[in-house]
Amino acid sequence: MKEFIIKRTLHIIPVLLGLSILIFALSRIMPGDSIRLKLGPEATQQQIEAMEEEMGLNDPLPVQYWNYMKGAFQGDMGMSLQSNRNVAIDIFETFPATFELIIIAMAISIAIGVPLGVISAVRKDKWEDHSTRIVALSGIALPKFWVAIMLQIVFAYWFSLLPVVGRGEIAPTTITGLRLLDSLITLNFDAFITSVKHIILPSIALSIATTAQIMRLTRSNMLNQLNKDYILAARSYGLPKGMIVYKYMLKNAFASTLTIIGLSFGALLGNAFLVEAVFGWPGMAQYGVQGVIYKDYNAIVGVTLVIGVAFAVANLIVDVLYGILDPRIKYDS
Amino acid sequence: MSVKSEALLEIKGLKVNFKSFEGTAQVINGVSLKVNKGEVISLVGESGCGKSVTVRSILGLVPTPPAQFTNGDITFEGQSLLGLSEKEWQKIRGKGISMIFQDPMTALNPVFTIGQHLIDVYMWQGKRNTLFTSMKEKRELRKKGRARAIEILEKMRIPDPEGILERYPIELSGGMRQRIIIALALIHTPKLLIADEPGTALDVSVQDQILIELKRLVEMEGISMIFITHNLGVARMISDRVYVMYAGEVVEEATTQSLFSQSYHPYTQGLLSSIPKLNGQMGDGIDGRIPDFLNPPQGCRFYDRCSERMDHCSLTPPKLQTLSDGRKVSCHLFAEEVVGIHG
Ligand SMILES: Nc1ncnc2c1ncn2[C@@H]1O[C@H](COP(=O)(O)OP(=O)(O)O)[C@@H](O)[C@H]1O
Ligand SMILES: [Mg+2]
Repeated sequence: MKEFIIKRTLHIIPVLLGLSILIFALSRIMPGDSIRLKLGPEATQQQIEAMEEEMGLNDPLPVQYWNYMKGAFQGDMGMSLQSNRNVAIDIFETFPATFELIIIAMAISIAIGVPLGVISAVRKDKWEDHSTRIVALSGIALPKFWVAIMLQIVFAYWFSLLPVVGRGEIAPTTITGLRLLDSLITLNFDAFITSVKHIILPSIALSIATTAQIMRLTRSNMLNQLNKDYILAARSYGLPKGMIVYKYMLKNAFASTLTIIGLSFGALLGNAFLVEAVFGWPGMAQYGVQGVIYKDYNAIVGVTLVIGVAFAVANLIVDVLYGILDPRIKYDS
Repeated sequence: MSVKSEALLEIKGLKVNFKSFEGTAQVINGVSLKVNKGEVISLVGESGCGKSVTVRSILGLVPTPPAQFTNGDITFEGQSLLGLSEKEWQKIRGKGISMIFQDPMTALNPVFTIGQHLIDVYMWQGKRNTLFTSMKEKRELRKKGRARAIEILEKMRIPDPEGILERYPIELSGGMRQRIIIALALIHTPKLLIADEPGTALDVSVQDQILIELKRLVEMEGISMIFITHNLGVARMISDRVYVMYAGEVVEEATTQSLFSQSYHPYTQGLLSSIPKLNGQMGDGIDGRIPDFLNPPQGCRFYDRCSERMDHCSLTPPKLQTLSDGRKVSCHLFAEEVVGIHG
């Protein structure tokens, strides 16, 4: 097992290296003149050249990359043109909000998607199956921002149950930046309740498509299990039906579902900016989008790198879990 | 052995159809067979003859739909099985009757250890709800299950039983997996064991070892067995009586001894000639294939392939009848009356 984990971990190093080179190169090739944007229309040629020199934009690309990576490892990701601060600081402040949102959305997706998928498979072609599948299909088809706005209208404006924007006024002392976790660690229950209330709608809005996908995949994986010899064998031993479904079939089905969970993590990161925009969630996805609009190279590179690393790490975790759930994986690699 | 002993399992006139878009496949067409206490019978026939469907019917494992049980009955210890609810089946499966599956590569769940397989079957066979059992009770059951699992593995002469319990199926050889599958079927010492071509997927030598082991265990524990094979040679080695099946029908039934001293049905004779000869030559076998179950022949189902067919064979299906020497065969060659008319 240890060997398997180490091997998988080593696998992501070249991935990350390639990722950083690719992103860096792309950002430097992107059209548009960020210096002009930054200095305004009145800037003189000297000012522009001085700024370019200062930011190292005249060095050859490999040198720029080397300097960038050297800085990044020391916590210096370059100045952000939006905030005039080190990009690392901006990311450090905004990443936990996005991360918290995504984790909760993922938890919701699994908690709802897997049981619904199981029910749908067990009750195949019955009304339970049809209704869950219709709901799932709508979940995939409906635009995220529309779902987000509808949730706001229904739960915030009509019923005044939940807040519309932000992460809440009452914030716990920052430890990890994940407010739910921080408020629990510091036993600040007011902050915890505020944080829960604020995260419910955005995380639901974010989770819907993933929930639907996990549900559909769990359903088909469960149905696939039905024709397996070992399931017929389990029945022939006189094992209870519930045990066959929730233990013998689900463990196999869930192992296959795990792969999509790793990939969904990327989709969640991608969708997060829409949800963050609608709910005024001060997250990194919004920061990244702003970066694109302002041609803020350093911010773009920084955010994309963090997303890439997060994605790679999420998939590493999924891979390892997969190996734990299904021993065949270890032998294949 | 005694002539009429007590029946443990009896199948009478079983008919099973499979419905699909193409039509109704009349797969099992009036099969009757009987297993007495302590007896080992073989069910022999080519692949696709309906052997698996017949024995899976005994455990209620044939999915309805697509299957339809249109006729006949199955009784186990005098109790009729076909009308049972899933819960009642569950009590019988694994304890009264259990089954060894054909393919050791697919019959074990890849994500559970051998120990989990064996202990679960020990703990939960016939039980309904596993959620409301107290932790203490579960712990005790698990302990007993583990002890029983080790005991059965030892009985099967499997080296290092404790170590095997921690292994996943993928870590074991085909032969070892087949032994585990046998252990799973025997853990509650059933009264009737159904072995559906065990080890066919394995090396001949491994397969032989396993069969010898299986026969020894069944005799030792006094378990009755239905043994399925497409190989008459294996049937000869293992069973007291033989049922020869062709295209969903029993065509001949005899004690092993009498069948091998003389077989009556042309199909049985064909099967016998396809056993590889001692000089290494392959037997002749039988040309042709099993008829389409969607459109079975109007007369004898073996007509197309029969070396001794007569005109009326294609018109009227033969019936399984008892001959004057006590043997049972389903063929017009042995029907005095019909032969008489044409004679
Ligand atoms: N679930 C099923 N649905 C439709 N047809 C089936 C099903 N199970 C078995 N059959 C048909 O029944 C016939 C006999 O199969 P089987 O009992 O597996 O043969 P054997 O075990 O003798 O090789 C085959 O033609 C097969 O197509
Ligand atoms: Mg078969």
